[in-house]
Amino acid sequence: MHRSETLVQWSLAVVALSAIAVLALIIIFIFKEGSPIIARLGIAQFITGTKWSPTRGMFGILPMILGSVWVTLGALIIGVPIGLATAIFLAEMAPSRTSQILKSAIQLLAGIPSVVFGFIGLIILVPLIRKWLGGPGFSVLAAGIVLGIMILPTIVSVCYDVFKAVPQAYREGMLALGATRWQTIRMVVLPAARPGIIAAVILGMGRAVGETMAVIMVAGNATKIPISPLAPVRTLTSNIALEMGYAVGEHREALFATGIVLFVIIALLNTLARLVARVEKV
Amino acid sequence: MFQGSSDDRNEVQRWYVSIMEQKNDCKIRIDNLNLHFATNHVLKGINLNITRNLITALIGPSGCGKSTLLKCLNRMNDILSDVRIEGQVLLENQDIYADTVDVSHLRKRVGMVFQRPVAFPISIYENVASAPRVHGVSHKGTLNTIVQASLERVGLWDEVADKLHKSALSLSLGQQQQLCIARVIASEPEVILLDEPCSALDPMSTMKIEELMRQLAKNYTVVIVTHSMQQAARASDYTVFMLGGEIIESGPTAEIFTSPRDTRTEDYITGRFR
Ligand SMILES: Nc1ncnc2c1ncn2[C@@H]1O[C@H](COP(=O)(O)OP(=O)(O)OP(=O)(O)O)[C@@H](O)[C@H]1O
Ligand SMILES: [Mg+2]
Repeated sequence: MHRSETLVQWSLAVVALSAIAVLALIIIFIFKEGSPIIARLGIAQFITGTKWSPTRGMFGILPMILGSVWVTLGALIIGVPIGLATAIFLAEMAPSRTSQILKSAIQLLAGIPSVVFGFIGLIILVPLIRKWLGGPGFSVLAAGIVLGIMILPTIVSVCYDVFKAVPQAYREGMLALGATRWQTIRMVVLPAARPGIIAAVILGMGRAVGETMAVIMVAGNATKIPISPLAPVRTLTSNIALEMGYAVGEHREALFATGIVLFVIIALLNTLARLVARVEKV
Repeated sequence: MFQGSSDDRNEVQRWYVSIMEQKNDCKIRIDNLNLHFATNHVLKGINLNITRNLITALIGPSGCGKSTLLKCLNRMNDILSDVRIEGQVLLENQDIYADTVDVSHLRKRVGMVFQRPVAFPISIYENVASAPRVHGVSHKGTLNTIVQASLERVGLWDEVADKLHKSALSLSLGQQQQLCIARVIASEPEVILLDEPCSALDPMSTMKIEELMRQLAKNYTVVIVTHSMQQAARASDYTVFMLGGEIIESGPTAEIFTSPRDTRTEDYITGRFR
């Protein structure tokens, strides 16, 4: 009994450690491959440079950084209000059967491969934007909308759980004051759920920053700083995915360096999520 | 015209006045009230008059329907599914279960304090302000006045005046319960219902709340559910003993506790059964 338990403990420790080791190796590898070019060009030159032209040896990734920022913002502007409203409806208003069904439907969204989202965006959204709003159609807007829909399952399910975790006593206390259901939600449920909602937004943001395939298909991928929501845009992830296949030498290093920047951004987002959670708890 | 001697007329007048007085004294009148949770008959033919500006205590063993009866008075049972309510509850002679009644306004008139203090996870100020806000007050100055007056009324103002914008959850449980009472007062109710308001509190906080109830009875009609015989004896004017969904006996507290008419009441208050 005692023996086998020790054995189990050890094997679990080995598995856990190897998972961490693999992760560490990946990070080390990325930094090893990417850092030389950053050192050569200078970090400032690399992240504020506006020209990306590998054939001419120009590696500025500011357009891609801004591209990721704009596209992610777009996704949040579209995904957060819709996701929040959906979660409020499901958790606070809908009869429990309806909310069960709708919730599984939304979770199904999470299982659809991103290439399918990209494909639908490509054949429906892009032409629509081109026709009604102008520009090439491949744009920040198209990527924002597609990503906004893709982060819905995350936002909805996290917010739903957060609302369900708000003690029923708060709602009753509010109703006993004569509050309507909406007043109850606005004045007590939302404030009580705020840290969780912020965490949901940051999780969604992480997903949006990291998504690649669907974005490549609808964003147009031009390496210019986008000047309008209708302009084509390339994100950091797209940059790597699009050029990795044929990049060699310095070019390849620059793509790894792009990966480093991406890694740092996501690490920052995670830290932010933790900080928010901690600050709100006090 | 009334025919008859002047003596007769005085007699009738006195009779009329006493009836009117009785009517005026009766804040809430419960008339043959029955309540079912699904197939469970929880309140059985309740008849009760709750007198204005007195403290009425509901006592009885666990599960006898005290909380349920209390919640009938501000229609908090409405939010549950599968409940059926028959009979009448008259607040100032108006049936609160009539179709025309605005439930939100009813709950403003009949405020409720729960067993576990329900301080919302927002600031102390916002906790109290939430009551008037619900009923459409949004003017900052008015809100400030109401918040301060309500907190002063429950004796909490001095303790929290310099941390109004701190989270209400930073208060002690006793203070949170005071806060909840302040919040109820802030909506300017006529009746205050308290469901075991002290059961989560230490003796000092309990004394504070009891004193507060005394104060409140000057302006409000108070109904309290309690498991503590001492509390009922100490803090109430009128006591209602319930058992199995029925009212066994009710009367002035002194009478119930010194000379109960029903043996079951006696058994209960002397602690022979729970
Ligand atoms: N939401 C509900 N759904 C179904 N039955 C309920 C509900 N609330 C109460 N009951 C039932 O109604 C009866 C009376 O409950 P109630 O809470 O009014 O008792 P109580 O006298 O307040 O008890 P306690 O002293 O323990 O608080 C109990 O048998 C209980 O099981
Ligand atoms: Mg109870």
